[in-house]
Amino acid sequence: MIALALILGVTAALVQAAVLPAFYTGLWAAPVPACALIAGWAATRRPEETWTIALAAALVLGAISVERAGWFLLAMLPTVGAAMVLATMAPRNRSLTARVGRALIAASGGALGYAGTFAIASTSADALLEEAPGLGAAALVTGLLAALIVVCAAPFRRRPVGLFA
Amino acid sequence: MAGSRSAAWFSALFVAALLLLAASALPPAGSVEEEARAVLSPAVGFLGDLARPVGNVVLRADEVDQLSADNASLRLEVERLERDLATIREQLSVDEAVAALFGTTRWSPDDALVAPVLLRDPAPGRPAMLIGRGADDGVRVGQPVLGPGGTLVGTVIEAEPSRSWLRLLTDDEAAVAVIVQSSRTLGALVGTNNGLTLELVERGQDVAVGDILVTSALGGRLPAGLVAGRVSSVESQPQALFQIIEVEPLTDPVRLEHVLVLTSYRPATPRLEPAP
Repeated sequence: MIALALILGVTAALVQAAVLPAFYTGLWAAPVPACALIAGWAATRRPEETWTIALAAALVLGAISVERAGWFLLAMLPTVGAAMVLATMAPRNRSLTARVGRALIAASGGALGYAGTFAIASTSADALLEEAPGLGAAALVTGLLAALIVVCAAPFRRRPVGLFA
Repeated sequence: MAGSRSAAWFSALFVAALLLLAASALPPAGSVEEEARAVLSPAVGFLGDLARPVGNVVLRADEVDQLSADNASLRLEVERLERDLATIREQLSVDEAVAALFGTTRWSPDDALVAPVLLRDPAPGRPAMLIGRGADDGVRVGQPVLGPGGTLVGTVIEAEPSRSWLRLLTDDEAAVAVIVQSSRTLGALVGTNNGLTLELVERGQDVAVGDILVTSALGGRLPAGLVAGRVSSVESQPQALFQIIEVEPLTDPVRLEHVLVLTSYRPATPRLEPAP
């Protein structure tokens, strides 16, 4: 499972670096596939398993950017944190609707946190505020992407273990 | 129990991020990063080449009717031009074709170098680009980079052996001395990450919408006369010392596939005099 997460993390980073610039011309208003994958995986499996995705994606993005890999990893932490908090709020609710909702919220909030982190890293908070509507739309798209991942990955979800589960 | 385990994982990731940030300052990090970039750049370029045509279709879906009409008229024009081109192509050398591509005859192939754009920086807030030419090809930090028509796109900020990073004009750390071409008014063209503004132009100075800005040799960082942008709005407030002038770039960096690096230009380095 770790190897799969590693491959998916690298793929998400490559999609983010190579494919998204063809569709989104703005600097800030672009969805973050790595955050969507983290939120989707956390809602399908366990939030603790997302460290591989975050680390792999951060290292790949850091290697092909002037920004440091550490900043990319820091920028993904809000998604990981949101996924962990949401998972602990209703641990017994494992319905598809609940998992989709958790992924949507964690990914959308995480995408905003991602942009916020880079606003700090590049000291350009003004530019972030100017693109707030586009950023909101991009966060929503990230959330929908995470929801789609949860639906598609439903067969791989973590099932409760127990005699009467 | 689950909560404390989650907190431990989160803390471990946070510490890992801080360690990565700290490690990036160490000398070996640069070479490791360069090796990783050499491996990943082809993959990024390949995926980008695949996605770009699809992106063009998606981004321009609302222009289909207009594009169809344009296409019909352009098709006739293209047929005529193709006949002309077939004749001309035989007469052109590769270097002359490059000069024609960039629409300028001011720079000869000895002065400049064509470089492919490998990727746009994926970090939000960093209008930067990686190009496929580096120090081994004669690229040096500070050299100006031009787009189609000889318009200034940015400058080289980092030159690796076979690749270089560009800082685009729109970067908020970019500032260029420019002259309004029609009135010869001097100003500073400054990036805002989202666009450009012309600063330090006093109220009453002659600047109008549509005016073309060209670079000034002032400071020695850029050659004079490179087209840098077009004035898109001018606002003058009674209580303000300077005018508020917005400028639109004449080149869309997102659509650039090749750029021209002025390798013959040697930017002046600021000389700091010791304090008395």
